[in-house]
Amino acid sequence: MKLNLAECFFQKAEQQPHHPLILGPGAEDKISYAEFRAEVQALAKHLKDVGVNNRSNIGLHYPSGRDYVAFVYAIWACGACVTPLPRELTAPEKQQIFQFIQMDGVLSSVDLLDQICASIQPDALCITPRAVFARVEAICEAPPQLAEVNAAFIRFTSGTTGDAKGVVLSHESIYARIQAANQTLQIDATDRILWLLSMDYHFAVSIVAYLTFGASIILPKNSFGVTLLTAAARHQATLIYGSPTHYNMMIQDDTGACLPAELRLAIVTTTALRAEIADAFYARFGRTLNETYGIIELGLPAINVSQAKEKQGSVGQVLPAYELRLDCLPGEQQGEITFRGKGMLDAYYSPWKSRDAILQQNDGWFRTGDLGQLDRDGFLYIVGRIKEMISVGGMKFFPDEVESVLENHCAIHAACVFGVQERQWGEAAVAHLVMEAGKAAPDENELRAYCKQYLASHKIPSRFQWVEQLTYTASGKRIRNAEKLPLP
Amino acid sequence: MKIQQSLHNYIISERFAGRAPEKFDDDYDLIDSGTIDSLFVMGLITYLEQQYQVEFGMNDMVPRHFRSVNALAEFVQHKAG
Repeated sequence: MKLNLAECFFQKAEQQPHHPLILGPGAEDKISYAEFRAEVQALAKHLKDVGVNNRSNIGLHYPSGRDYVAFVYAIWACGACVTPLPRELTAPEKQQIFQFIQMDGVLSSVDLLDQICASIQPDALCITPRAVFARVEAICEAPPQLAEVNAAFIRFTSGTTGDAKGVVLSHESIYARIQAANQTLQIDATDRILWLLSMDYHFAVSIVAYLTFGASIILPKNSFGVTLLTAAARHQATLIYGSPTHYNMMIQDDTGACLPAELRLAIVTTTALRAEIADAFYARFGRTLNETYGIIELGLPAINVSQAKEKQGSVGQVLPAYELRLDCLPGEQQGEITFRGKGMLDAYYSPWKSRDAILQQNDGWFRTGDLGQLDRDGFLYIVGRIKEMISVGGMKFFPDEVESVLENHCAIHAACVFGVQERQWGEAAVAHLVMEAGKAAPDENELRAYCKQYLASHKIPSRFQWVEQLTYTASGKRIRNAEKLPLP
Repeated sequence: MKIQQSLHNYIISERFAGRAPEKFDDDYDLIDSGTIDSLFVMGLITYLEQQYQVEFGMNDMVPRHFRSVNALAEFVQHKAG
């Protein structure tokens, strides 16, 4: 019998029916494992009635929160796979996902339905007062190899037209990665986790682990510092899972709110933690932040639990279930971080590339595209990126996507987008633009309005700078490293 | 356009997909109603910074400035000096 993560949760609910699963935002939102299981099972029955089955792939177009978790587990309980459709994306960005990943239906918030109307059939069925199920217009076909994978998630990541990827994760891979992470995190039923991230991007190692190991999830109403601290204190959080921006928000709180004494881990993920935030957090709360290294293809192979203060700036030692190899040039201590171990992705979706095929390209090791360095105690430090991903407030995207939108503007001949450090959101995107001959330069407001038609707001550059020409490497590759670019 | 009107339009368009909730006025509680969530606040700040040439620092990220359209407008005016 195939593993199903919904069954793992049902078993946990059997063991601890009265244990709280969701705490907050309001008192009325508290729900136990047994109550949540009943909710998931009722939703699954509803979905089966409308035709969702173990061959289906269902888009999920819904805000993060309790309902989101219930929908994922209900889809899994039908034996179907989930493809997140992040709500902050623009209608064209969502359409791109429909064109790339075959979906049989979409479970959508009623409020967001307008944004995907071009891709769905009009007769949407009511599933809850706030959610509808709609069948998807057949636009593309699934790769035939997908049927051989017990797929739980297909996560779309955008890139240039040719680089868009769907990361396929099976129930088995997710189960393996949460077991691997939990050797270090040690999450169990005594844990109450303050959850702060988007579930579209963070679910497979975190939320699934909490439901599998019997923990409680605290959902705050918003991300203002006082709200986070109050929620953590009220529910005696033992663990916080957030981005540097969230911890910065807590530092800025001016009400004097404190962290609960029960807190044992404050996990930082999504982007590099600046030393000033780590220092200010320690000065204010007397606690250290636990940096991690996580990527969708791998899970969470490094967590700094043992020496968070002494080795500040390190993502920790590699977890026992993983092996790390730095691919360094001769004589250099820094190199590309490569891993092998448990719970790696099952495949890239299109063109289909199996895990074995991906690993074969690099002698069995997965290339992360990040540059790292190890200290003498085996603590890993991330020193840069080979892939030029930008992370604004924890929302990640690749510059190629923004560049291709800009280069479609009639006044822009070429564009180069790169990330720069920014105090509020960690990073911001900046665009260098080369004007098309004979055209007048549009002003920043016009460029922003143009980008807004095609790009989610976090991807729109905060600055546009006109330059004579872009900067390229000797081999003709666009340089997107801010430190190596000339000032215009 | 008044800041309140501009904010009103932005919130209805970006947060409520063009359909304002009942009793949505300039004193509508954006925090208690859950209108301002983690994701929306990021877009809102970017919009205000670009629209009114103001800069939000981390110490401005406290609920009282975001409580209502009126509170936000007052804060933007204060920032713009």
